[in-house]
Amino acid sequence: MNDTPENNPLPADPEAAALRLLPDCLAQPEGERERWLSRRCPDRPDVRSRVVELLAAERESVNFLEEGPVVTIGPDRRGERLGPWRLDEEIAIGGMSRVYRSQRADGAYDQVAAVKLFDAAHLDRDAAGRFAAERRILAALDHPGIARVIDGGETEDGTPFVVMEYVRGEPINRYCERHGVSLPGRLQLIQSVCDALEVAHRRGIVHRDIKAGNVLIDEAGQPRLIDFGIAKILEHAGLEPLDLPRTRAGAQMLTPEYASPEHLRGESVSTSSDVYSLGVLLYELVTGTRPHQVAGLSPAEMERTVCSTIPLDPSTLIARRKSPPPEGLRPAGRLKRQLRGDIDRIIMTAMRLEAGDRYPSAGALAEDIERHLSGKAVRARGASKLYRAGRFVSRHRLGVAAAAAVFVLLSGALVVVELQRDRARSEAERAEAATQFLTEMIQRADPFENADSPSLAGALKLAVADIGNRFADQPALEADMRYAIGYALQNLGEVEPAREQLERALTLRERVGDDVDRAEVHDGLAIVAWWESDFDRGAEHFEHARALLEGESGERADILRVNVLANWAAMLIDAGDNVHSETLADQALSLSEPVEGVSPETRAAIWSTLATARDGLGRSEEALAAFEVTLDIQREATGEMHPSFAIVLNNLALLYYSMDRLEEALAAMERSVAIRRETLGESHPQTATALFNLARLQTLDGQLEAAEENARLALQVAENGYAAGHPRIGKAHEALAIVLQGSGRADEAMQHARAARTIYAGAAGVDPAWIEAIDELIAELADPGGSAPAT
Amino acid sequence: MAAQAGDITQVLKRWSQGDRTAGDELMNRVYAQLRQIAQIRLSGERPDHTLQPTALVHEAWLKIVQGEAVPWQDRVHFIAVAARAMRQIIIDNGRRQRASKRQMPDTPTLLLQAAGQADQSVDLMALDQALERLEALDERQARVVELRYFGGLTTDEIAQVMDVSTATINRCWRAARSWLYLELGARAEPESGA
Repeated sequence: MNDTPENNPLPADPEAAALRLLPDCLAQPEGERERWLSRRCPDRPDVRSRVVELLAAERESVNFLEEGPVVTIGPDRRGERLGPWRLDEEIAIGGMSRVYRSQRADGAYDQVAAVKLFDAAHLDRDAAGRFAAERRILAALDHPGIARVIDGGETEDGTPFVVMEYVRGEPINRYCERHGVSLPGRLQLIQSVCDALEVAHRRGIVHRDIKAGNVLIDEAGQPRLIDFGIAKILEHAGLEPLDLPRTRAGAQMLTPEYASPEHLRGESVSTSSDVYSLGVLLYELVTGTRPHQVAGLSPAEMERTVCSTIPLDPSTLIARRKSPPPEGLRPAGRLKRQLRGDIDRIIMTAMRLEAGDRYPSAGALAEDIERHLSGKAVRARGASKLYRAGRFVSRHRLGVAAAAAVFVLLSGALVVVELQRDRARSEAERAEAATQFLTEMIQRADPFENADSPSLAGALKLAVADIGNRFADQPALEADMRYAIGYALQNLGEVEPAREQLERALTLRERVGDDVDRAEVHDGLAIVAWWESDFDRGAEHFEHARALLEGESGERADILRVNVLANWAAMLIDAGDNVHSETLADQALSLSEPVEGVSPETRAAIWSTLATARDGLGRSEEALAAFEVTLDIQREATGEMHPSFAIVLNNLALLYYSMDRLEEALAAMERSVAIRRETLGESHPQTATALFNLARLQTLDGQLEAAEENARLALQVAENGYAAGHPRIGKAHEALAIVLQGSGRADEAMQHARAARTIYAGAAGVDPAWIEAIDELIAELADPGGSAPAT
Repeated sequence: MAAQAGDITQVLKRWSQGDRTAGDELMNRVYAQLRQIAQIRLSGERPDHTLQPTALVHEAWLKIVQGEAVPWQDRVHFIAVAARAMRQIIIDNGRRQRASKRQMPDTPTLLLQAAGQADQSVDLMALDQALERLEALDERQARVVELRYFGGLTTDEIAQVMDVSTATINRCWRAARSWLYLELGARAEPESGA
């Protein structure tokens, strides 16, 4: 901030003075504002009270002037009569229609209605017929939560119109904001909307344009859906409601922020599309932010954003965002905890990209909300880490060969089988039966053996059906197989089937296994919960496993004990609990020392967790020491020419950098790049990451030419390796911008900074901190030298 | 046509360097261009039609540059000028509409209204007058409203034009919006009976 307000005398005019103070006052945290004001102008009570008034208005006016103006040409129809209806006052205007509040003028009875007139040329006979048929269907829809269609037709000049029940109310988002509605209150409102929708859906009627503006809360506090099915009428009338707005200001016809992927793609719209839009609305109501930021994007970019990106979980958004949550949902910390788990899962399930993955009906969504409100477990799976990862893979399927996956899975499964043999569980044929079973499974998964089933996960799921019969009288073996398959499925991102198999394995082992067997399954179940970011449930399973292992001896128990603690500590890093993570990692280390069977990979992973936790706790020197140990172990296990070694070096370099030890940071990063180039190849995305990290370090070191060369190479690699619009490409632009800024080429730098900004804004799930950082860079570039803060 | 693009770039450059005559020249050109586009649109194929001024502004820009590569900053500066022109056009039309309402009931007129829900709609004439009052109190805030509402510029772009940080623009926007909210709320109904 270059102009400190204290040096600036306030204008004498109280109104001007209040306006001068207001922006700076808004920059203060909400609880501090009044104190700030009395400090800022102790002797101007009139100005202070005006600012307080404006602050109150600020909270109410969040949607005011948000949409740009619309200018209409056409006859002014006020006072006109359409059949028995007299048009009184224009109450809304949109891209394709105008709405008048109207009065029944034939004296038959006293009724107010909303008449919607469409901007359409004359309807031909076919269109008019469909228009009438559609109106009749809608008119039969009678539910207190839905504004009814009463009448309709064409004006004398051929303009189609629909007469609807007039609802006095305000949009649900503004209602919640103004009344500070609590979280359960918001959920219940959506539940009521679901109930109304369900009735319509059962009759095959889809709303098609669910958004905050179409869900009004009436004077009794009940939600009412307006404009039901109107979008379809438009379509039948040949009015192309899918004609997307060209600029951000004109999102009039279809609101892309709420529209489902299939709707944006122009495919057929179903009840499931309404479920998606409801998910978006619920997301907005519980966070105050719509999941997709599409402002300023072209239609193609909008489509790409909505169709291919998964927004942040609501709780993650709240955790990362700086601004406070909506009124009634504060403070942010509590809201985050309330959303995490059930509500995240409910919303992300409603918003699944594929219609078939969403709730099967609005009623099912309402039921899950009910389960949550009454403290029962919800059905939803949400968008787990693996779902996100899986989406990424499916969009970059190019080289993800089935063969590779088969190999990875089978080596895992066969290791399990070997372990069983080591355990010397008497029957030799058990191992043989298992091996044979696995072999058949592989053949199913192998596209050359079985053209119908190229997917490994699919083959595993098929295999599952056989297990019951195959191992009917061998419960111990059945449990082993279910555990192995469950664990493998978990690795493939099939979280739900994985959980099912692991739970069945647990049930069997409750009967025929020992405590170590059961602990093993709990470890697996904990990892499943971890993938779903359900850290609480994960901790429960780890806790369970640890308790079961207590007092158990033997190498298998010893190894498992270490693994449980190592996994648990790593999960806690994800959960943001560095303190607890460090404690557990320490325990894992001391337990692992005497146990020979603990693999070097496990030991390296523990040290790496320890380093990350310490770094997170601000203890850089100790983190450094832990990384050194990680490097030693990793070197011993795999040698230096291995991607895992490069990852450790990369993290080490970033730590050095944060400690201002540039030279060492550079050396480590250069080595990491060299290893990745050698082992992963020039065009691997991981190589790009390391390249742009290196370029940034080189810039700081003044090696501008080398930095630019690497940054350009990184951008090229990222553009080849990721789909257009991927945030990693943005990162590469950003790195290049920073390098160019360092070389004093602000114009070129600005181009890349803007490119990065565009990509971040267009990609959902981008950490808001990235956008803040790029905005700062853009501001610096726009104002070189000027008031740039010294950092 | 390429000459025209180069031309406008020159004028924009002069204008952004503070040349006031360039500003007037630009304003006249943009105004003419916008009116022309609006006229074509309004006399177009459909009997009823709605227009988004911000879309018109964008279209005018595309027409003027004719596909020439022009530094992106020029677009933002252009739109900054166009926002004022657009506001002018809308208000001029509004005045004409009010004047002619009684005399020529059958002629299509421009209906001016902001989009959105009924209770959210804005009387553009009242908004224009309120903006003038705001200008006298705090010029910067009034300018932010003009650029955002009539020009359709994003906060980032406004920050570029006005050469301050995005955060500052955001706060100015929120402040101005609160003030206008009270101002228009208090003065909503005086002419609705006309």
